[in-house]
Amino acid sequence: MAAVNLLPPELRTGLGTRRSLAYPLLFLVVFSAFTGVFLKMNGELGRQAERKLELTTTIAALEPVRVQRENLMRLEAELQRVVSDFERRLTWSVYTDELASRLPAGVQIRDLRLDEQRVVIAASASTLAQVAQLISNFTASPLYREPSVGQITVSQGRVDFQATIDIVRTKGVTGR
Amino acid sequence: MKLTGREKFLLLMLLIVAMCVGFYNYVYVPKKAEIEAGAAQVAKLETEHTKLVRWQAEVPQTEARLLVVQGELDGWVAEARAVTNTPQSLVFWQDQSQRYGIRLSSVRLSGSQATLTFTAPSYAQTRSFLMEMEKMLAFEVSKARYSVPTGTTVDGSFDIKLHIGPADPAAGGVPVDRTNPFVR
Repeated sequence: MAAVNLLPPELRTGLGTRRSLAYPLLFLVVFSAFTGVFLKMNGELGRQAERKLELTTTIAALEPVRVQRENLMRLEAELQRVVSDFERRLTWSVYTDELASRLPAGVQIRDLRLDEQRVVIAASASTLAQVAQLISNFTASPLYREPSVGQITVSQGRVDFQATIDIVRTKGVTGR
Repeated sequence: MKLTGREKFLLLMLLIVAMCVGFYNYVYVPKKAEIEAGAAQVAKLETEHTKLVRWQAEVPQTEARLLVVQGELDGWVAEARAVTNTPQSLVFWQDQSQRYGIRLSSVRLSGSQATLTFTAPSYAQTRSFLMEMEKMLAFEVSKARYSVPTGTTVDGSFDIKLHIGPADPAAGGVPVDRTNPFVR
């Protein structure tokens, strides 16, 4: 059964006091919560400011290290640009040296043309076997590929022929 | 106006909710954004700091590498960059052809292209001349042609892409007292 207080409110003992305190207490709790959050956030900001100051000071002290390192990186980039430029190019002497080293004995070049894709040679040999050896030698070369021999003329113990050999462009093949 | 207890309670709740909303919007959100921005700044500074501390530990190696790189730049790179314009190119070809006994029969310049036609006493001299050009950034040989008509001398030509700039006006001499352009 529900209890019913039939007294007028002013005669109900204790209840007025409790009610009059309830609302301010509630406000106080809410306000305290706000203040707590606010102070916590401000504390975090303060810690961040301290750390920033500390780091900024240390970083400023290490400025010469940065300058030195950035100077090295700049110079290395400059050097790398030059090296890359040379690596991009065909180093002709390396290819002609390879060509000379792959020529079989008895084969003599009369005319040599090089461009960035292939080498065209007009040469003389003593035997067809030497021409065959030349094809094998250039097939085995890392700097050349697909040697193709055009017309071969054989007359009085001399074999004249023309050959076209594609160049293999390999990064880092330089004469330096 | 007299408010009942329930109305007072509801009014109070409304006031508290309004305060919460106000606090969230005008205090919490800006502070939170400030903290996040600060944390990002601190993280950036920490990264920078870590990097610099690592670099500091590597200072001896950096100094050694600097010496090496600077040495290369002052050495072969400086030599490779010695030719930067057409007058210097002409002087280079003249000097090197004389050095290796090569007779230049023609030098044709067209924009950023050049064609040298020559006769060399031997293939070895031609090879040396070519290697001197290969060391220079200014000269990129795009075609070469050699023929050996007599068995020893080499007739040939080089097509060269030129990587050069305009001539240096400071290298120009002072005008001389001459009015006839048809005498040496």
